[in-house]
Amino acid sequence: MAQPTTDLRVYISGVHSDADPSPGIGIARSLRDAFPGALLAAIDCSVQSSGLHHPVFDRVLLQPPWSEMDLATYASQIRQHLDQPNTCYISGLDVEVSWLARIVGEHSRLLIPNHAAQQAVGKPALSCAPSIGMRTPEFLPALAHPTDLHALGRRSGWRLWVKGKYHEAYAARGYGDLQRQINALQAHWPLEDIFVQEHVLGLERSVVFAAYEGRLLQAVEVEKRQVTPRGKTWAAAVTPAPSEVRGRIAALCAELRWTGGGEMEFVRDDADEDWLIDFNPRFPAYIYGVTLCGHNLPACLVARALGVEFAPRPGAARQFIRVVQELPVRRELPLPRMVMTGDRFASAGKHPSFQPALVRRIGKSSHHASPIPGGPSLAVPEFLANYQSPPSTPLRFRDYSAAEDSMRRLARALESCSAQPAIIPALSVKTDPEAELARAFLARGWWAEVISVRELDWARRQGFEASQIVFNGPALVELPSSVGRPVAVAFADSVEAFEALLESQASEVMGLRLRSNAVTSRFGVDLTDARAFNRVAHCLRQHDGRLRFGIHMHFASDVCGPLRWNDLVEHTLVWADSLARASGAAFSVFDIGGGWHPDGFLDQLIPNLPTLQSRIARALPSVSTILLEPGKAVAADTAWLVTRVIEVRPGDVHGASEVVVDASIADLPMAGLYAHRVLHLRNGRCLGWLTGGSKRVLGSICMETDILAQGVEFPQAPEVGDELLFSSAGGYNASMAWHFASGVSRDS
Amino acid sequence: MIPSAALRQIAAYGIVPSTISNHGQPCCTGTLAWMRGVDASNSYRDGHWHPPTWLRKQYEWGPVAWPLHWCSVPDMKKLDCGGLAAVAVELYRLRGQAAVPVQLALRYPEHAAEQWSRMWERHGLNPSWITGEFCYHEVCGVVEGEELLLWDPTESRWLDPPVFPNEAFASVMALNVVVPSSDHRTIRWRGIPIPCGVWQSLVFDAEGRLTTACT
Repeated sequence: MAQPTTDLRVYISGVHSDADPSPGIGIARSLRDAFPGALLAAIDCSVQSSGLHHPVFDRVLLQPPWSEMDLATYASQIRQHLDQPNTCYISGLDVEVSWLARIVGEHSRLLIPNHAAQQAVGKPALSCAPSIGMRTPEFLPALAHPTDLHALGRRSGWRLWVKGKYHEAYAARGYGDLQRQINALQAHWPLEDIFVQEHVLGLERSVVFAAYEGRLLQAVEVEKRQVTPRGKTWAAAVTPAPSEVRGRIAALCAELRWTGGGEMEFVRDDADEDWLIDFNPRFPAYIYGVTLCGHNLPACLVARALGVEFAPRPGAARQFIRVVQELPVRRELPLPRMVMTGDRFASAGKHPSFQPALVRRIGKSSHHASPIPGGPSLAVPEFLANYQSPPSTPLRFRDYSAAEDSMRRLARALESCSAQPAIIPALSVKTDPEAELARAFLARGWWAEVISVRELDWARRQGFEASQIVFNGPALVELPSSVGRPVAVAFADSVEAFEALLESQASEVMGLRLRSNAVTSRFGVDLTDARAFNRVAHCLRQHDGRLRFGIHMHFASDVCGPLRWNDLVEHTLVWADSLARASGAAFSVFDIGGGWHPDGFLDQLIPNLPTLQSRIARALPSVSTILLEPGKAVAADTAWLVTRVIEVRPGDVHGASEVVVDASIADLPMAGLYAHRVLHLRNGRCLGWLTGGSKRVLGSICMETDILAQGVEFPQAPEVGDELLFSSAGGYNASMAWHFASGVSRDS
Repeated sequence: MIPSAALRQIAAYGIVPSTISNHGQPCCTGTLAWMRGVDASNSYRDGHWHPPTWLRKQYEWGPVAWPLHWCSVPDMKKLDCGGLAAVAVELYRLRGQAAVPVQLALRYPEHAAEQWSRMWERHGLNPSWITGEFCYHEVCGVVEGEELLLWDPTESRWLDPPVFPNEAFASVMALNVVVPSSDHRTIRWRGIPIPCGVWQSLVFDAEGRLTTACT
């Protein structure tokens, strides 16, 4: 028999409401709709928790901040509440939900999922995903090796999220960004609770549900219609969950004996595949919006737990939207004045529900947010067998074995491609003008790519014929006066340079570099400007039949990612075809540029060369030559930088420590953009590779950016005099190294 | 349901959907080639084609004197819904997708319609596309098999059928999927069967289900 609801009490924690609100107010408003006579008590940790002032609450239980609370006493107080008849407790705070499940344990009126259930849906593994027919995005713990994090960034096109296990997520669009966001999150959360996740493209949705002791009560699908700048739901459409989805959630709830609210956040991609990105063990903050649409999930849960009934109201709408509302502050909870902290005002006191404090109270996680990938251990390089410590450091030395292997694999891949259009690699000279690389290219009949007359002279001295040279870049204007014979291909960087090139005919093929708005670049011609398009089409039309034309795209795939790099190919193919249609001219050379990371070159470009070749041939049948311009792909791994530890600094309160070495970003100028594998040697003996961790390797010059490695751990405690050998010290790390703090001026 | 007199008036205004003329010369063929490139640059992302939202970044909405030729489009500052829809249909076709013009009767509050009437009159144009609270509108129908998706390039959004049988803002009251006269197929718009080539009113049946009625 249903009981009257007038003596019903519900304690609700987590009631703060700002741009990133907790669900407490929404839960309370839903319960008020269903049980007008119920006593609703708000719990939070600061007068600044805005929901404490909301009139929906009959009582306020203001707690001390987590950092000042006696947790055992607080747990017993919660048990006392629960021991009262017709009383239940709903938490809206993720960390508290976790703590309550462990400390208070299962109780029929503590309306949260049990500890095991929370483990099954915990980020980032989200191990329940397959059972609800979803996939999870690729992720790594923040403690993973920096080179692995860098590889994840490259694969994702630097669309990453740095996330806390419980809360907070920040976008990272580059390697420097990634390190900054990890450091920022570390201010709140232990490093073990931070992970890095690939962004999934698509529309965000949620399934919100309530279950009691393993039985699903209700489930709805929520499709976002507006989000805040931080990605929080601001408006959404609500529909009953499709029966198939409901069936899967019901099975999961039964398996996990779920009690309480839950929210599965997922992204549906273009292929209609669902990617689970979060599984909250509580109701979402917008839960009252769901109630307004006729699905009062908090009331269903409380009614079931207390054996009471309520009259469900029909939905007033199928969509909801949120507003900002002003409330009178309760007289008994006045807000303190703001105080200056640093260069800006901040509210006095603690964040209202500052859960990181509870995380630090209950100790670091017994296990990491996600296991650090093991995989086969990295072999030490062969040169170490005969390695002798150099008398002075820093020192760069060359080892061409990796580059030779890359070139062999490229040559084999070219053999597997069709004969037409011919694919010709052209060594990017600027990346690292090393004679050894030039010899290797010449031996295979490959070409060179230059960006200045001085580089052109260098290439000729190495033995490249003019007919084997591609001239690129904004300095094309220097070309006509400098060569006796035309180079094979030249690509103009502007319409003006293209017109001048057609005039001078300094190359056998006259090319144009395109700029795509898929990436931000200062180079090339933007053909979305109709005037530029018409000028180029006019030039082509005028010289059609007398000259040969080329088209060029160039953007580092390790910056934009393979997906967007393929977009660039598509854009360039469409533009070339559009120019051909508008002018009647045809392109004979298609240059895909360079910019591959050595790993991406081997894993992504080389295996896909036959596909790329046929794609270009299909879209532009007139193309007879495809050029590619490997630079760092072959040159980056040709050198190592030997440095010595000159100072070891003790760890801070978080255990992080750092060493200073005698090299600097003047020796390794790309250190801020790329992660390096680093070997640790002592007295000429290899101690092993540095792994992922929380330590830093600092350079020796007085520049804030002089950090050679961060997020690393040493195989043994470092000592002054130890050697650190940085891999991938060739390519731009060699060609762009400069004199600094050495008493030498570049111009002297 | 839209009154038949209002729909007759709207249908009479939009006897045929807006069509941008082609000189058949390099001026227009070059423009179409350029637009294909612009569309790829803006709409081909992450390995997929996306709706041409760039159109409304490029062109404001407002009164335009017709006829238009393709070669005049790049320099236009404004396009009306017919111009935007004609460009969108062409872009989808250049991508290799099937697309058709779709004519709509939308309901707006009279105060909104009144403002648009004045706007057209100030430009010396006749606002005959407005009939009381009903407005003539054109969008791009993207055809995927037997399914029709309505891309509204004026609002840069996908159009959904009305949810409630009441007076929603900008609710679709009637539509005409324009296909060659020999094509008598029925196509589904978000599950609703729509006979092509003739104006159809959207009506809710006694059980609250949305259906169509030939007018």
